[in-house]
Amino acid sequence: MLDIKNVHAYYGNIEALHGVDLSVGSKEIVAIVGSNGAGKTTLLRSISGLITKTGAISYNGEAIDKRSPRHIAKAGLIHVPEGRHVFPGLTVEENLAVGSVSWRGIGKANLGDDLEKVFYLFARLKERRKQYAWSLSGGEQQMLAIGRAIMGRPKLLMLDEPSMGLAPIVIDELFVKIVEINSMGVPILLVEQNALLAMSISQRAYILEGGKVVLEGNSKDLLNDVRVREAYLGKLKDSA
Amino acid sequence: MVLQLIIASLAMGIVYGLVAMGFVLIWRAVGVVNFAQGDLLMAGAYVAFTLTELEGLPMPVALVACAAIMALVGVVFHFLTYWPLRKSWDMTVIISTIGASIALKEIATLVWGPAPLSVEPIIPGIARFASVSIEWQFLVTIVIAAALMGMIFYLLEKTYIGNILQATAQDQYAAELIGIPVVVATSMTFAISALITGIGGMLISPIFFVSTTMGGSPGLKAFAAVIIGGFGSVPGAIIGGIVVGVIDTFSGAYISSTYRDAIVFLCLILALLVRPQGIFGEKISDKV
Repeated sequence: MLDIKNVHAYYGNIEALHGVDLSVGSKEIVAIVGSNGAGKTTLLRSISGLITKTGAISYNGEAIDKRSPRHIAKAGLIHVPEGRHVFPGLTVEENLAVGSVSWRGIGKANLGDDLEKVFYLFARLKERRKQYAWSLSGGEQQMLAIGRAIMGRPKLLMLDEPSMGLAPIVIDELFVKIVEINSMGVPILLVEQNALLAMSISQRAYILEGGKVVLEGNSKDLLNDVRVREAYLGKLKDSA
Repeated sequence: MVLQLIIASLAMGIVYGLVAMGFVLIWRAVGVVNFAQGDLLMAGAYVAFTLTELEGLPMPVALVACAAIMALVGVVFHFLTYWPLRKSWDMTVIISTIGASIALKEIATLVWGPAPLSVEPIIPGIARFASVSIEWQFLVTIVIAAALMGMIFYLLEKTYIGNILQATAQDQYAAELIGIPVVVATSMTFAISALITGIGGMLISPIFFVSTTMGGSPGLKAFAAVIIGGFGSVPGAIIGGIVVGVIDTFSGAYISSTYRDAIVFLCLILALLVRPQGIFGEKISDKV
């Protein structure tokens, strides 16, 4: 459903992606793994229409590479950025309501079912619905950022480093929820530095290095690949 | 005498509060201080002059028309001074608002001429309550300004559209990603800012002469109100405005009408020494 062909992305004159091909199927979790500066975030930003690029990006056969971020969100591709970016001065409830803007515009809408879905996934948000977002913990802010994206009725959810800065126990809880969101029928494109974690919940993975895809395949196979183990799962090998 | 002064200072204070709110809305939305805020007050006063004195519109119609015209002025202001420069350094936008300040004064001179103009009060005459007599204009000013503040506060805090405006002000990047039309949201915020400031100008136009430089002193005092109230806080702007109005009016009456401005700014310095973050501080404390 999401198809990316030969995408080159630029920050000014600097080329950050050198021809990336990638696809996400309608029921998949696809992971993008790589070190700092490999181009993972740039790839998501290219899909969301935030930076200049060449190449073809299509969604359900429709070209979206010339669209603005707002139109891409409207088409159902919702991007949860790195660093969460919740609206600090709005309450949890207000953050979630604003998340519906992609399909709702500025009109009235009944958000009951959408809110229920978010609160079912993240019961903590329901408890804190009247609290300002700035007062939440890091894990709760990440839940809110994902909850806000779900309010946008995503047809594809793009998560950028959801584990960043969170305690291991919170990360585990969060990743269980990510799998659950996927089982509700939302395909997920997951960017992670934590390769083991990302590949353990995804069906397929792409490994990015220096703005290029250097390896791709089933996550299970990649987890057993010698090159991958050496480059990204070193610690695992040591402890084994 | 004291009661009259209280009413007069509330009337001035609430107008300062409106202008201060205008400052805060733009500050929160785009992170710059708008140096032309006082000139938007001046523009509102001239628009009011045209609508009431030249066109002879009845007062309620003139009020609504003035609000609509000033909202439009705000949108134009947004597209000329902020939007083309949004990706550049903050200082560039600040300089551009200084340019806008000069341009607005010159436009007013071209359209309405250099001579000060006078505007009739919305309700002329004096209200008498027992032994106290108060100018109707002060009471009208307080009522209209308070109602307007209430409406804007409700819009921003309690409605979905207000939440969209706030969300855009707090994090433009995230707003864009979830599908908010950022350009519509920021121009709407500028429209509201210009509208409330312009109505402030309409309300004080019968109290002062309407002139191209009339925005200077209220603009500075409203800026003092923003600092006293706490930068970025809407309730702070309102409270700060009233504090400045009280200091302004009472020092003018009891200490020296020549030095009232100086006294206001002396109090600003004192406030900065005692409580630099202002009465309400920043509403949003960023959590890292």
